[in-house]
Amino acid sequence: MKKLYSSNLFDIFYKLVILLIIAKAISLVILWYLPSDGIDFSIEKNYKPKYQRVSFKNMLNAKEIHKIENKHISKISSSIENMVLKGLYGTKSKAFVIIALKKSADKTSIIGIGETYAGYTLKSVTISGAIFKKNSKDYVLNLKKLSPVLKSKDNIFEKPIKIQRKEINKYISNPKEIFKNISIIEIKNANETKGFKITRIKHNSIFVSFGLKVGDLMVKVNNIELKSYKNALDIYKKINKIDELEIVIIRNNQEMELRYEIN
Amino acid sequence: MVRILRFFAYFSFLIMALIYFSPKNNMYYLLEKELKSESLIVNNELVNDKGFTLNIKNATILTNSILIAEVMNIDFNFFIFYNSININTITLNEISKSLIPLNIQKVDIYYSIVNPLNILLSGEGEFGKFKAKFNMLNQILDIKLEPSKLMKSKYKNTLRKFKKSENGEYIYEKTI
Repeated sequence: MKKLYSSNLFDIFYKLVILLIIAKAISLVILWYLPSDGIDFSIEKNYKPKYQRVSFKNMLNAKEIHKIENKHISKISSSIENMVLKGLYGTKSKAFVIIALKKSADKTSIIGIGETYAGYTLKSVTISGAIFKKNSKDYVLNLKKLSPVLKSKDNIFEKPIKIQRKEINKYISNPKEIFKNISIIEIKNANETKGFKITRIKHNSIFVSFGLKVGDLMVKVNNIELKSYKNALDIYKKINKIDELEIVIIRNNQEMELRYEIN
Repeated sequence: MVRILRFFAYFSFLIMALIYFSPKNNMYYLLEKELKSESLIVNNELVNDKGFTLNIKNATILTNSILIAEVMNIDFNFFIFYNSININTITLNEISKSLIPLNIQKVDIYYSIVNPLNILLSGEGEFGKFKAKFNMLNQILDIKLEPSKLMKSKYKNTLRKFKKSENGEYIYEKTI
């Protein structure tokens, strides 16, 4: 009888199949011990929505307000004694005030123009206060004057420090100059970066005039928490497009804010 | 003799089959985890198991969350006796601009069983050409650089870290 296949060839083929099965089995065992996913970089959730410094004076059109004030002042008969004005907001078209009764000063209400509170109807809002109407008479309620919350000897926290754009550009084009004048180290709490601490500032360098001091811990810039070198570097890369800069520092265990205007 | 040859033939077949079936993607993920412990992250890459090799495309490399480079193509070739990693078209981040030209054409890393103690590296780009050797026993990295005209003219500060040899090569040696 004639053979349909060569037993030698079949033997080789059989052995190769066995080897393939062994190889696959080994690779499956290896696969069992290997991670199934890679590492992907995710953006740290340290970004807080950008806020803008609000000046109520800017919101109220000064000229309009003066007109309103002059028009009304003559007619105003008296001021309201039993209420306290805690805040006001106004634009050309809309305005409202935050108001409370003196006896329960913590219980505030927000009243828009035309709305009534304790019998008084809000007529208009001025820079310094609000004008109410009751029984065809006008009453004025002035904004309570507050003393500044933060005071400092060198006055740096009260108004923004002005920086020349060319000064900034000088450091952008030559980053080494920064570290000749200032030394900063990353401060970590366990595995998390708390901020960047200033360890050295060359006297008579521009950084002294920026109001920075040795020991200051920079924790936030323009409301972005400095949780990594990346955060700091991102700000550095955008600095030539930034007009206003707010740096939150911790100095002597107190949180302070330094504001800069780049012109 | 025939038996020995047959044994080597089957053994080679087994090795090739092992290389082919090995979970290269997952091995790469393990490498990524190891690199992460060194604060190095390879991100956004496309991983492609090509049977005997592994290909990575469009990777971004970050350290301490800072982008340091973008790499167009990486080929991993592991054949046990001869292994290589070929990296092509590397663009460094602007932050390195003051240290080195930003475009690197290619970097090749080789390891062969013929030279078991050394990992060999070579590369070229706007900076010029380099050849390097990493001795695993002494942990010494030895770089020989042939700087380009651009490197010589604009990156003198970086070149100062190298020692200039008699034949004009720039040599850098560091124990890692």
